[in-house]
Amino acid sequence: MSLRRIALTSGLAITLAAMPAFTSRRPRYGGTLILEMGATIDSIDSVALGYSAEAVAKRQIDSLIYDHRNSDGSFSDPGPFRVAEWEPRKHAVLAANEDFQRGRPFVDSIEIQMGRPASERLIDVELNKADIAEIPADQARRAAENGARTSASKPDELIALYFVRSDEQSGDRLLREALSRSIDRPAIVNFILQKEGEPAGGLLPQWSSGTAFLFPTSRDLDRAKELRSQIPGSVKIGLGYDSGDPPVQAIGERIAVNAREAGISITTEAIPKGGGSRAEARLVRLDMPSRDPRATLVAFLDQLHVPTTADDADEGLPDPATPQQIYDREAAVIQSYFVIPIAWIPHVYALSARVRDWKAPGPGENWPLADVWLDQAASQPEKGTP
Amino acid sequence: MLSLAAKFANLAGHTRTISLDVKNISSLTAADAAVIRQSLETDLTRRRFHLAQPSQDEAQAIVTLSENVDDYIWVAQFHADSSDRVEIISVSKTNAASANPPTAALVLEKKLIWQRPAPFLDFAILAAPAASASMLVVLEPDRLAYYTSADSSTWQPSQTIPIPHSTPWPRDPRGSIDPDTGEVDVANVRCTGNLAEPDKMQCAPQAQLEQLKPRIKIPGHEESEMALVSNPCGDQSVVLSTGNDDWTQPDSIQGYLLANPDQDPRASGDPVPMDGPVISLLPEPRQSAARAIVHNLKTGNYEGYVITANCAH
Repeated sequence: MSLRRIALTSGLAITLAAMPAFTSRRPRYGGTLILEMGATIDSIDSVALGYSAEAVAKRQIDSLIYDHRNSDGSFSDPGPFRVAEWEPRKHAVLAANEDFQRGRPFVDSIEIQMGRPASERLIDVELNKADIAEIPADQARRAAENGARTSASKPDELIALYFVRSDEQSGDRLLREALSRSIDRPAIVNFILQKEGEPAGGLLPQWSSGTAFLFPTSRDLDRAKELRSQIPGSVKIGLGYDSGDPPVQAIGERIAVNAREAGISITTEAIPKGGGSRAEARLVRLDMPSRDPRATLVAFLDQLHVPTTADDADEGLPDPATPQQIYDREAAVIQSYFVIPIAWIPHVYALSARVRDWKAPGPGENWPLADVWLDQAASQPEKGTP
Repeated sequence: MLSLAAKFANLAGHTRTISLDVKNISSLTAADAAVIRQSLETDLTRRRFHLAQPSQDEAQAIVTLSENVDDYIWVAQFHADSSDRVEIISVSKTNAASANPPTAALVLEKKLIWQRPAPFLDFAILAAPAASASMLVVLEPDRLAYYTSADSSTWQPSQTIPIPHSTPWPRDPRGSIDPDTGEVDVANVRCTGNLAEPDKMQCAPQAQLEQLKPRIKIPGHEESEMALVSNPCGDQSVVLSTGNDDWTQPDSIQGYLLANPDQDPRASGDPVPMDGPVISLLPEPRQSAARAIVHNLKTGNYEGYVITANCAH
């Protein structure tokens, strides 16, 4: 071997020893990984469409049991895991596919607990009842203070307010701008989101577009009052939000307080899942579908049904688009105030001590569970129903 | 830079006196940003702009050196006559690389030899016989891929040799090429023959192959990949070692000098930063160099580097 030859020619008696090819820096095989999620999934055979938490979770599981995604969104070819147990809306067990063409996963199996409330997932990881669980971003600080391991993506989820029904009358635009300028985004990030995120002025994060700094995020209450004064009569806005999303509820209530200081009255309304609402505006979470700024901007505008402006109605955003074209389109939407960005937050995961080689997936990426391995020397999760 | 200056010319119209402020919010170093500013000022002067101190009367230009997910983004904001305009250009990061020379005794240099989106395990450059092309052999999990080049920089595919295996590889197969013996190992398969003559390579399963690793202890690097290489600096041995993080983190390669086997190796020089984990580090025969396979976390590519240790006196 060349190593031995080099040792001899160097004049030093370096001991050569036959050692295992793998060290503990390298992955090891075996073990059952326990993953908890808030979403519940009815059927493993359903096709996940849309942007709901359930659809996103289903697509992640699909990516573990299928290796190829077809152009129509369906999957084919066996993936790194196969379904060993499936209890609708409760739990599933995925077993390692020994014959997976790109190598058997490191863990023997993954046990998935569905429908775990956000408040309990972190506790389960801290109590060694789970290995991986996504936790609300505003809990990341407490998790770290309690000594929990956390892993966060780049800020890739936008919390934004958008107007469901809008027209181009100047009064509406003045009102929307006044509302946007009245919002204290830094305070929302610091106090409600516990500094886990960053204020958003644009529809793309700085790391993706490189131009987010061009959209101001600071509060301008004087200008908000000035704009409000140009609108005759009383002004009331209904603001709806997902009733199952406490952080967004808290943000909605803070926006209402901010707006009141500018003379704008906002009534918040919790909208149950699948329920209707007459609120003019909604506070929503928007997940980046890709790290590519153009793809994200197009997807966001599609989800929010943002009206096209006269300038781009005929052409839309070219593909590919230059940074200048992306910025121009983004700026046109922001300056219409149909969409009011509030904050960027990351996806945060709590990890047990034995999880290795986990990397928080970025936009459009899948859970890297085929590459995760368990350090058996670390403490094992307790078995049993949470 | 000419492009950005040209954008300024468009934005400025007839205005020829401007104040210029350059901000850097990218990963460029302050030194690189200063060079860019100097270059921009030179170009603007050549275009007959007069650069003035900031004042209410003059047109104001702010250039922000930013970056997006792929490239540097240089943003020019131009404020004149109560109006604001924004022009943006993107600059490839490979065109704007900085060069800060290391100052310590052992100087490590990295040279990118090969990269591709899918994993590969090792590579070897076979020196060109007289009047012949150099040959690059890339060990992929399922085959040996051969490339030739007349200048050792642009490689053209020439031939592939399959590496048969009846069962799937492990998820993290290890593999190595020994240019001296012509042996190629992948997991439990060994290929033998003359590496420079692809048609004569023969592959067959072996009993569990073991890997020889130097038993060198570097405190804090017990789990690192290491390669013992020839010393360009004299009597001491040189060990190249990776960091200790797992494969989700950017890595680096640090050179160590080893005076004698009873002492701990001593770090020498600056580490060479890598854009991802170093998956494999193997010594080059009879050279002060090692081959490193890196999984670039920014691009997703797997990259093969030759890391060369030099002595800076």
